[in-house]
Amino acid sequence: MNEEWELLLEAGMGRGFTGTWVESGDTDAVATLLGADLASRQDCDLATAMIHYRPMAFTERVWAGPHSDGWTHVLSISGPPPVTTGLTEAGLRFLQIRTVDANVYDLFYGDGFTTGWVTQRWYGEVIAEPGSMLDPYLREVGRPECPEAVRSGSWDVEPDYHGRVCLETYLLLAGRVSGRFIDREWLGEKRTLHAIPPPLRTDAGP
Amino acid sequence: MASCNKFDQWSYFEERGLADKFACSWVEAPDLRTVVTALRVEEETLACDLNHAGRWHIPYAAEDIVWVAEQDPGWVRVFTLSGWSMWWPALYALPEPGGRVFSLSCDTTVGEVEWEELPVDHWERLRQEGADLVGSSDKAQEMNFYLAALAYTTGRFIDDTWFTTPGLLCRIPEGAWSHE
Repeated sequence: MNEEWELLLEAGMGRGFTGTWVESGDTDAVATLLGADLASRQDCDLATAMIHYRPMAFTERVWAGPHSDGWTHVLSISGPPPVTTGLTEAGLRFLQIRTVDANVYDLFYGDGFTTGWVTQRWYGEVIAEPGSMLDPYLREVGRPECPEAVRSGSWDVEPDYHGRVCLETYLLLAGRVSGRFIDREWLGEKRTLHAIPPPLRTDAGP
Repeated sequence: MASCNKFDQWSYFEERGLADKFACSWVEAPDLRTVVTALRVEEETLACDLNHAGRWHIPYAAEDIVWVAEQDPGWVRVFTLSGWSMWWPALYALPEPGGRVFSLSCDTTVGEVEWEELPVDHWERLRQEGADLVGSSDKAQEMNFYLAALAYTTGRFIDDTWFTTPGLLCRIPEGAWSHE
């Protein structure tokens, strides 16, 4: 039913995916809050942005654009997940989903005041703090079915069953909250590639 | 959570999410450059402090990423952010005759604290001062004791400024140490 991760794999995200969904219709403002240098902007499609793909590189790049009415999506192309403290300071709600190789990290979210995690339990079950921003959405999604002894794809570089189910639940939550799921049309859109410059250089460099 | 007790050093790593898998070496070397060269860092580097470098902390990834900084004159610290630290022989092969190297690591999931040639000169004094009684858990108390032994030897206790010292984030190329 949920083929979002398949599509992201197809787009080349197997070694690491970081997506940040932000409740704001102003892409430039969101990019700025995440530290992007607007002067570096380059409008391009995902395939072009992916030329720079390198998950934990020291050079940080994001591909950002309108996601749905009132939401902006920021896809990390290189570097670690963007720092989200600026989003919370601006009172913006956000969700951040992250994988590194076969590891699926707990979903990180901010409700505009504070931040929290939707944590992973066993067999694909994920838990949100009762009364938190994502709790009602998670109740709607319900519990995953018990695991089938099925594992597809390469075990080394892709999430295994448990991680995979959690990841699909996270993507489902992001889709429900933001009102749009990742599909071929989404991946085919033109967005803006931004560089996030490092902090001011100190004198310890080579 | 940072308290005024100078022995409460481990909490600085806990606060920053750097305590789940911890590995750090203290090396007697003239400067950062000497250590970085010995580690065979050839590719990417980024000048930053450890507060920023901590974003590259991926506990169980194979990529070798370290943060290197000068401490008190004569001491350089190497903080492992990612990877299995297979490059450690490099520190012992530095050309400084009689140069000391101390390494401390802690893997919270396995629950093991490991160390290499920790300085024992101050242990008696540390016990008298109660350095092994500070910390929110047995693990924290154990780490605080070793960190205190290191602090007395290398001349620097860990506090917020330890994380704002200018340093160099370094990637050690894949395969640079795998066949040693």
